[in-house]
Amino acid sequence: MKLKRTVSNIFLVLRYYRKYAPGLFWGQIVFRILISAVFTLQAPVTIKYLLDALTDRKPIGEIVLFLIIVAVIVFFRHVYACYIVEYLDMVGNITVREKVLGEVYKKASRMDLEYYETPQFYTDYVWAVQQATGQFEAVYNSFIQAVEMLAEVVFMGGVMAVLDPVLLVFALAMCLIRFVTQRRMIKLWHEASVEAKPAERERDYAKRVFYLSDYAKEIRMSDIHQVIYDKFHKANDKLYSIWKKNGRKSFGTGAAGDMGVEAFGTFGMYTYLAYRVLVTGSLTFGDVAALSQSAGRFSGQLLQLIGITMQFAEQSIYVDKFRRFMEYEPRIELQAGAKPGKDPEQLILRNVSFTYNGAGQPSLRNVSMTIRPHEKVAIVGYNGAGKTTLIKLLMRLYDPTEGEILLGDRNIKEFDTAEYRKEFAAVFQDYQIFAATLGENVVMDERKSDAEKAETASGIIDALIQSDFGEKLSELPLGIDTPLTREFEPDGVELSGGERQKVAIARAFFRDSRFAVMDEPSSALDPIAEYRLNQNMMEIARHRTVIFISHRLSTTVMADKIYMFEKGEIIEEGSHSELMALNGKYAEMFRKQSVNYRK
Amino acid sequence: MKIIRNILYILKLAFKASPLWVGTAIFSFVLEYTVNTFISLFFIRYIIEALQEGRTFQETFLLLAGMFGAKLLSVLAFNYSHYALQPREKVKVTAALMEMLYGQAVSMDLGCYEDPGFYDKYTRANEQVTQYAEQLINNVTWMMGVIVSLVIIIGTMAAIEPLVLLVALLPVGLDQILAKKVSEYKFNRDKDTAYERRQMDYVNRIVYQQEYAKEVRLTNIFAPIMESFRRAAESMRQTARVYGVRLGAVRFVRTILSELVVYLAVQGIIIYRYLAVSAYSLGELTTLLNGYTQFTYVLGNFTWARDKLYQCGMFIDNFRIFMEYETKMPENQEGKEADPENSDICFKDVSFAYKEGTEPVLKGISMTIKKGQRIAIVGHNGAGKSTFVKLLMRLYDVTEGSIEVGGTDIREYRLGSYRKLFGTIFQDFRIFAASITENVLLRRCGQETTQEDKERVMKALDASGLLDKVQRLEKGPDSQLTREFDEEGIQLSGGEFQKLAIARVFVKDCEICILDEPSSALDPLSESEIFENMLKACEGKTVIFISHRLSSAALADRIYLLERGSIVESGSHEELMAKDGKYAEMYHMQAKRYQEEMAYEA
Repeated sequence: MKLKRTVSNIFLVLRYYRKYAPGLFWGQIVFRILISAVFTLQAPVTIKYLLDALTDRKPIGEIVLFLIIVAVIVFFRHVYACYIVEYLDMVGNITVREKVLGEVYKKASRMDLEYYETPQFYTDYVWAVQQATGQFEAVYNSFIQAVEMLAEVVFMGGVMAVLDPVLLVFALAMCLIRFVTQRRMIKLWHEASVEAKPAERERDYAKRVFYLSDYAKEIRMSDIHQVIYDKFHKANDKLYSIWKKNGRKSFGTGAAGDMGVEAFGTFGMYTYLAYRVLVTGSLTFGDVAALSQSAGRFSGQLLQLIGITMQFAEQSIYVDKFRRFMEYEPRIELQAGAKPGKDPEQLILRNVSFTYNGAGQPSLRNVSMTIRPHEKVAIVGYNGAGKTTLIKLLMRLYDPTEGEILLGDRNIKEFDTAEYRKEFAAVFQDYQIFAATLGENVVMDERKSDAEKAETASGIIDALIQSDFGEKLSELPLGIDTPLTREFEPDGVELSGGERQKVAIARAFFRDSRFAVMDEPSSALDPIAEYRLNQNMMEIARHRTVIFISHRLSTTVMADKIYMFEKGEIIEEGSHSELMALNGKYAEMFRKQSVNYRK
Repeated sequence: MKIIRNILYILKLAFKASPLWVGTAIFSFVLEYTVNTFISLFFIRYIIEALQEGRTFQETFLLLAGMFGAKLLSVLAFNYSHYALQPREKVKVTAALMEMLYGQAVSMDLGCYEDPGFYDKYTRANEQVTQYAEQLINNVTWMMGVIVSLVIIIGTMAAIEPLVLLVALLPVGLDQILAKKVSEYKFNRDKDTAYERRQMDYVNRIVYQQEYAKEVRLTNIFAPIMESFRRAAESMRQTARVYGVRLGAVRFVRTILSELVVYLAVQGIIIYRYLAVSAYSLGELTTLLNGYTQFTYVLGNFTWARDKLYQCGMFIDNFRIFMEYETKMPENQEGKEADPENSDICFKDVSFAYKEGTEPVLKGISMTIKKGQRIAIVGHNGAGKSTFVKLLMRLYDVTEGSIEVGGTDIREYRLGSYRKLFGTIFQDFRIFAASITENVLLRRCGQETTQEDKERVMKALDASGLLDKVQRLEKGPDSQLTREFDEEGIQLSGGEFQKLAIARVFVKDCEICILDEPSSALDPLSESEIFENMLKACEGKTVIFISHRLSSAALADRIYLLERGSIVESGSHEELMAKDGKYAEMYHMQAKRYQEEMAYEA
């Protein structure tokens, strides 16, 4: 990474701190400068004063006074430290964490779904979400340390300049050497980290597999962990050899630089000092003591600075990921546009094809269909036939690669995305229950005031009863205000698989939309619940258009129109009786499935 | 002290993984601090004495050259350990620690995943291992240099002026008490915000897990979640404020005692004794004054390193607790070898609760399954079906009663050999980032994989209906799945994944096949095909399947209907239909529509 980019990344982090925790930001800078100033006073200045005063036999009262003044200054420095370190730092960092995460979350929740299929994006994304705040704190901590070191270099340099400006020549030489070698070190380090990245990703796969409970059962029942171990070892070997190569070069550069610094520092400066005392006799003991102390600290802090800038370079890489993530622009999600009308309208697909990012084969090919208002449409077909993809396109989670989708006579791309989606109520195969109240899980909208809540309550309860959740609801003392999951509430309710699905289905009942989309809605239900649900689905359908995907052909019987998909194409369409009469694939599927029920 | 034990524990592990790095790091820090301390203590004194005793510049020059030599050596050692060794050896140490974690994870009882406290420790240890192992070694080795330096300074000063030692060490005892108070506050602060942190983690998960992505985009559910997030942050801030005031107060007392009081006292003593009693020479005086500055500075380093180590200590704590957990069901525990020939299953009054004191998930289950029988377990969601199979495979141990296989309590078998009896498809089966062959065989496959194994895999894929797809792939069964390791990795659809999972059972030479709702993601056509195939493949084996589809249950020799953890009906399909109970009711309901249509068609 270019130095410029590194610097701008560090500034990015600092801007967040300045914006969200200005008290902490400026307070720390002042504090760090203060620490260095006080240390300069406590160390070289004090020792010079004392040695000179003692050799000159100054009155003891004056010496004591000096010490007391220093002590008072030190006292205030410590009071300030208590406030900054224990109070401001803690509170400020929480705020920065909250704000940064808030921004990341907001961004993430508005990112087009297709980005999830882009590996680069996904890596940046997961990283930004998981690591951003930790790295922000690290950058900030490095920064304030650097401020302190820099301030000390300046103060100690000042002492040297006042007592003997010649020493500054040595100091400058040290800085120069340090600067040159440091740049090379950072470059070397960066090259190696880029090279190491893929191997690191591979190594982290093992981490995931071994700690997610999802994999736990299979790992216990088989020897698959051997395979994972092999990959783990291979990745580690790769990393080792990359860093070994880097180590050789870095060592050479680092050692050369440090030796140069020592030659000017330890050797050059001290020899010069000894010369001035012993040969020319132009320095007092106090001067020598102060100078040797400040020279020592000067080179010491300069050395530490390299460590910090190395850290900056390392941290900058992480910040860069954050930055890249924040720079992604959604195309679909934030699109503004017209608001769909209120009247019943047709949903038309014209020669729609769609290929997932990075996939070789299209998932949908040349699909055309017209869905009339209040129609009940069933989508059936094998796995991977493109059924789920179709409904994702309908709801504009993706845009078609070719062809167009129209609502009424307008291309759906012309609508405001959020408004357009309000036309749909959807139950997905992999629906999720959120850590919110039961009611909120049905409404799926912003938290309401109590008055508004009372208004919607009966609608929520109706929806839950319609989705066959009524029995369970009556067992819950808090009713629709029952918190679900234990994420936020220790006594939140954990629902079973079937119950969760019922809640998800209730969302569709509740939402007053023109379209309802159900992706295999009955798969986790037991037969009785499934039967009741099918009855209720008819109820939903009464005043809206329903599009459902099902493997159970028993449910497709009640559809007005059935589309049979195969390999992304519609191969048969018509009502149940038409398709049975056609005696094609659909009829074959239906018979196969019903054979076991025949008496 | 626990923290010291913890540090030694990790250091020992690190030393074992990379003795060169740890050794060199200690050496380089100790050398650096020793050299620096000596220079700062004695250089000026030497100059002063040289002047007083009239030594020449040439003599001094020798000393300077010596100093320079020592410095060069220390710089070389430092660069070697930090730039040549650290980057690469860190990989080694981290890998060693990770491997320990994984080894433990593999054999850890499944119940641990349900214990949030324990699981949390594991997760943290796992996440922090890369970060903290390196920090820890750096800080520990640094600390050693610092300690050596402190010893030298204190020793030198005490030799000249023993009183100094007394004054400097006086507040140390009091400081210990205060330090305890600090860690107590910090611990409580963390404890009081643990819940908020978990809440914030949850929001994290919602955002980055793809499962939530669709709903987050299609609805506004994210708004209430973010509100909860902000509330959690505010409550965290409140707690931090309260503890901030307390911690600030303690810190104040500490610094005043250890720095200010001591600062005045030490300087006072030195000056007084020099002026009033002429207790030491000018050279000694400079050493004392210089020594004291050096002492505060190094002490600062010490505090810094110690704080860092405390932070790392938390990580080690998690790591240790996890590593020291003793699995109740170790894989290679001494025990009988399971006998494939003798695998009748007998549940004797089995009850099970996931946690002590909670409602049991299974109650008083008794049944006998003869070798080769086909058993269907049906029932509502949450009736205990999945738990039943988990107990059978000994992923958990029963709370009451016992399970016997081949007449022996399953707890008496060696776990590894016992589990080999089973071939399983879980409801939530997983695909691994490995080749198709490896994903089917679920073990390492390389050159040593025999032709016979390969053929068995192909056969299994054929049986589960995935062979066509696999043969169309460029690399066939050697194709890598997922893009984790291979940009060209194959992404299968949900149904294809399930077929792959089914192939695992086909290929496994097992006695008991367990199919946990195996058909849920399949389309009807392949469902019935697979089901028939599955039964064919399992011929002669015991088959236990869990399904909502009563159509498949009809094929079982015996059906058990579970309700709220108990068996409410059992018998063959015909028997249960004749009985006209719950099962019959369920069956009728499911069959109704099909039968109507078939009748209509006829």
